[in-house]
Amino acid sequence: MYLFKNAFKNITRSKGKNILIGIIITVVTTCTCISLAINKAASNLVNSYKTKNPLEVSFNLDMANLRGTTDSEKENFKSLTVDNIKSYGDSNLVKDYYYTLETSINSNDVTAIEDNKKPNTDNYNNNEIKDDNHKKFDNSNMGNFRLTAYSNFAYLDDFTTGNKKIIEGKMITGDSDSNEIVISKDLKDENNLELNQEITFTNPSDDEKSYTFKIVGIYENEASSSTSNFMDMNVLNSANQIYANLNSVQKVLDDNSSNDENKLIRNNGLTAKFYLNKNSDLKKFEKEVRKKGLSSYYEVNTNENEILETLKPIQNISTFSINFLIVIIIIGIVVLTIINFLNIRDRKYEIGVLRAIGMSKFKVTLQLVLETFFVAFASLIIGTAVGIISSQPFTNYMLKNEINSYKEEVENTTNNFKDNNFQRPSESMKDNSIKKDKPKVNRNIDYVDSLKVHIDILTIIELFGVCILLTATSVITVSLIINKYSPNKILQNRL
Amino acid sequence: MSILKIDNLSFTYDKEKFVLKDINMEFDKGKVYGIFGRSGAGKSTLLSLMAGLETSKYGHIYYKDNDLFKMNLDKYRCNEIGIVFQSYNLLPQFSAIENVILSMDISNIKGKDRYKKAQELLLKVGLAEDLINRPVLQLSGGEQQRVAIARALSYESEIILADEPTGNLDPEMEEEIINLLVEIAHKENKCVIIISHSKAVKEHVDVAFQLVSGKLKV
Repeated sequence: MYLFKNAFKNITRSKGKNILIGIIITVVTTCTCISLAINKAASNLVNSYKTKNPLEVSFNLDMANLRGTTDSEKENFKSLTVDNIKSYGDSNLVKDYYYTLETSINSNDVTAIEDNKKPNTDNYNNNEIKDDNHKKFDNSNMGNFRLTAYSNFAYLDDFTTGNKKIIEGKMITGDSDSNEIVISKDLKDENNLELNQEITFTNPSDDEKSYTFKIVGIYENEASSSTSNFMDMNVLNSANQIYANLNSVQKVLDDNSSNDENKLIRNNGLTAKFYLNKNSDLKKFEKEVRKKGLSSYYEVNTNENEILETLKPIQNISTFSINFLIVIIIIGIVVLTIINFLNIRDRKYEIGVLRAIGMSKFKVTLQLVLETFFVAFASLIIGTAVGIISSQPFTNYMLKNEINSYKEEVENTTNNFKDNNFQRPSESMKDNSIKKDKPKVNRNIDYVDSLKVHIDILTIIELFGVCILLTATSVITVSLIINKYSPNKILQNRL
Repeated sequence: MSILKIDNLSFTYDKEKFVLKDINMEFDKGKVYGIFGRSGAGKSTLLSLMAGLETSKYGHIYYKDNDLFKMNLDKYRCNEIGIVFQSYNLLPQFSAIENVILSMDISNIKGKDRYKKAQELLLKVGLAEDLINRPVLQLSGGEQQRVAIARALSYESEIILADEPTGNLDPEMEEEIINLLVEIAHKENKCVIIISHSKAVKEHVDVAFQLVSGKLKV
């Protein structure tokens, strides 16, 4: 008890030194409080975001790997089939899935919408596309229109997000007849087409094979139809996208006589997305599909990065806050160690007297540590209060700055490409067949711009832990120095 | 049985030059002992050893037949002996009475009447009542030494070790302090051991030991 009394007495005696220690610990506690609050809120937000946005699992062909194999190995390679997808989807781990079939077709009756802008394509021509490895592949079998079917049209993002909407007729559904299609308004206007009109398309690899479809719906593209692509191919123009049902697309694909590498690359026009019950089941799911026969040439990918991209600024400030916390704690420990060292040196005589009259090393250490602890505890309360008050405005300020700098970075990158929606051929291929218009650089990501922070009991316990850590520094310093001191020598030296 | 017995004690700081050589002494309660000698004779080293502030590998000191160097020296210092230093060694941030009470706290003397007891001790050693609550730095040398003696007595120990207790005092004050220590030994049946080179002290002690170059001269 007397140790407490003496500690209090000594604190009031050396006000200046203790106020300095108090300020240091208050600053450390405030920074710790803000950092922990930001980190916790960010972590909660990321977790809830992951839960609210289930992982989209897809299988992408690893072309580089496949090209590196021998011809006999290529022959053994089995590309994905609809039956495979259905089999993989029939799993307890899968919550839902869908697949799309896509192919290009030609028509003698209808003229495709051409791109208005034609970027410099000196290095490329219509029939020759280079991938990252500078290998060439033939593009002669590419049609002018893109025929797309969804196993579940509820996953048609362009319509669900409002980029496209039906303005006449109806959308293709699972019950649609096999010859029904939905075309764009641009295509309709360009060719003076009408609802319920029948038009004939031909297979791009075999002109003899033709297909007659009836227009049952017209959609309008909210975005500009002339989404320029450096490949200068009509098929990539979104206005030339035609929606049909699965049977229609499958028939065109089946008729496609081409069996070359391009077909392989296009993955038979099949893509699939799986949604798992639990995001943590990804590895189990991969194991299961491999067991069911998914070729090792397919990579199992997720859209996790895409999901997390919107949280990038928050993750950045979370990382920054933790790094900042580590730095501030290290600085706090160093400064406190120095102050404690100087303090003990100043109080050497007092320590000598206490030791000489019988106070044990432990009790002397305890008394000095109690002094630091009382100051630290008072600072902890002040620091926590300041932290609670300032953490939200501080977080808002940091997040705003982070989003601005991130947007600036993206803008700079876009400017470097002179506003062209540059898309790498390799990316186009990797994402299977002909990719939907999805600009890669000119992104307009809706970053999460608010982070609600609050200090919970766990944060306060962690703060207390930091307080203990700082006090422990004091214990170690004091113990080491006091162990070195002999009371006799201290008192003799003073004489 | 002697309360304190020094048996063939030698001491060296550097393992080469012995500060004390083959010292043999015995101390009883109710007497005042004086250990005299010139500067460097080893008096303060001997007191440090008796106070448990130093230990030696050569020889023994027995406190009530227990080997001192094998005892818990912190406990020995706070329960079994009281030390009076030449430079008083009081804690400057505390008042006279607080210094005494702190010693009681350290020696684990409990009770609500500690303040009263400390007050009585201070009055007994001759400190004026109005000085009891005064910070020790505001007291004169003689007054501070009285506080130091009261602190040594507060342990209720049977041995008082005093290292040059009058070294910083004028002759008049020296006389008063010596008389006080003698009175404590005789009236309270305590063993008072005084280290000094003062002739005035020599005149008042019951037994005098002379140290010459670390050796005891009988």
